[in-house]
Amino acid sequence: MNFKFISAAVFALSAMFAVNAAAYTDGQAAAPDRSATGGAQTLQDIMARQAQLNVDESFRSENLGDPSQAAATTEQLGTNGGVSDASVWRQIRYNQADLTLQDRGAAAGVLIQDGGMPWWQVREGPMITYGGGALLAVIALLVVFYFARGKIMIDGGPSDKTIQRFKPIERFGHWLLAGSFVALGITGLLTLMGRHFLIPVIGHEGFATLAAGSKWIHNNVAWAFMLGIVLTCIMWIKHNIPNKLDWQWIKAGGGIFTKAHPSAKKFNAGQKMIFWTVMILGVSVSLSGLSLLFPFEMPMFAKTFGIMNSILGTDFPTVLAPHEEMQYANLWHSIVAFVMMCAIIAHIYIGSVGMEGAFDAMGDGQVDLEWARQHHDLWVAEVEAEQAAKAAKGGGS
Amino acid sequence: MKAMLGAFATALLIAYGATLVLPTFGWSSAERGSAAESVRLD
Repeated sequence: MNFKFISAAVFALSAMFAVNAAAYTDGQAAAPDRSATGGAQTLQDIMARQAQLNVDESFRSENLGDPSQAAATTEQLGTNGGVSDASVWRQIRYNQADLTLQDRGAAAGVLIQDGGMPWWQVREGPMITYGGGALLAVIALLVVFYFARGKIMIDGGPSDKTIQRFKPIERFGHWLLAGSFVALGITGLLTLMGRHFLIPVIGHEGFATLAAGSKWIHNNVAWAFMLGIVLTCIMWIKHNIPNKLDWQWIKAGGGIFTKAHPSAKKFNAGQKMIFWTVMILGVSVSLSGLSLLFPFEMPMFAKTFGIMNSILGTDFPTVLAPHEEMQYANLWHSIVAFVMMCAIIAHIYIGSVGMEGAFDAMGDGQVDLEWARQHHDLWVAEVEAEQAAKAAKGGGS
Repeated sequence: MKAMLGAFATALLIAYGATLVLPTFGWSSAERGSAAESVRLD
């Protein structure tokens, strides 16, 4: 009985695949019989498009109205000046219409824009799947790392002396950037994917309030983030210029696995990587954010693609509709933000639960002297030399 | 910790200030999309 049932099911599935294979070959949909619709679109065309198959659009892109064949306007169901409304919309659809619009900016002139659906599909699909997956993967890796490696302790334990690691203005700049980034990250995630898991929990009205609040925070706290980028860049860029010492630090794996302590100045190679990640991606996410904050007023992807094509020989589109610019800005904004979030989660880990004494640097600015010697020995030597020079100068005057 | 709390408070102040300053340039996040001059389907 079961065998017969399974056989019937296999046969039915095989038949379905065979029908599909006959109708569609190599991703190209076979042209259906459109006689029943007078040559217009059929359900099979729509289903083929939804199945991501290529549909020969000539049956409608070349059917833009023929005044000599159109019904007179005085007749019942007469057309508009020789072509039907459907023909006018097909002309708009294929960018063949000669229309006059009220001047409301370039964006208002785009009535149909094909890129909208692929953008929406990427935003709702791979962006959430891979972006959210990457965040969860980083968190999982850090949990595994924590249990495998344990907290990185100060060898020999903390001393009873401290040294000032960061001045108040440095800590202010760091926390302005960090606090705004966390706020932007959480509200950005709520905006991107919150509806999928919060509406079932708090309902539509509750989520609407949360989404509106997230939008307010995201749009307005963004300015604090940009100020934080500028402040930290000005204060720390000179300490983050790569040098030969960084290569030694990288070759030693930062001492994370070997428990060695490679030499470093104020910032080690790992911190420099975080710095440049935040600076470069921070500027990029700010620019795409500004483009989204001022819709249609800061298009930048067509020009960027043009530059990339000339340098890399790529073939990115250099003529983009205003809406396409916004769609690219939205996707790029999300991609860059996800990369930054992954990096910053690791940064938060090593600056808090991952390493004994690390948080003090940004807490009250005073770090244990032994911690400083183990992780930033050359910086400690510089500070002590400066202090000695000042003391000598003070004693001599 | 004062620097951290001060920075968080500053971030909120900047956010609130943005809602006051940006409208002078003809922009507001709250009004965006609902202003009379916005494109409407009707």
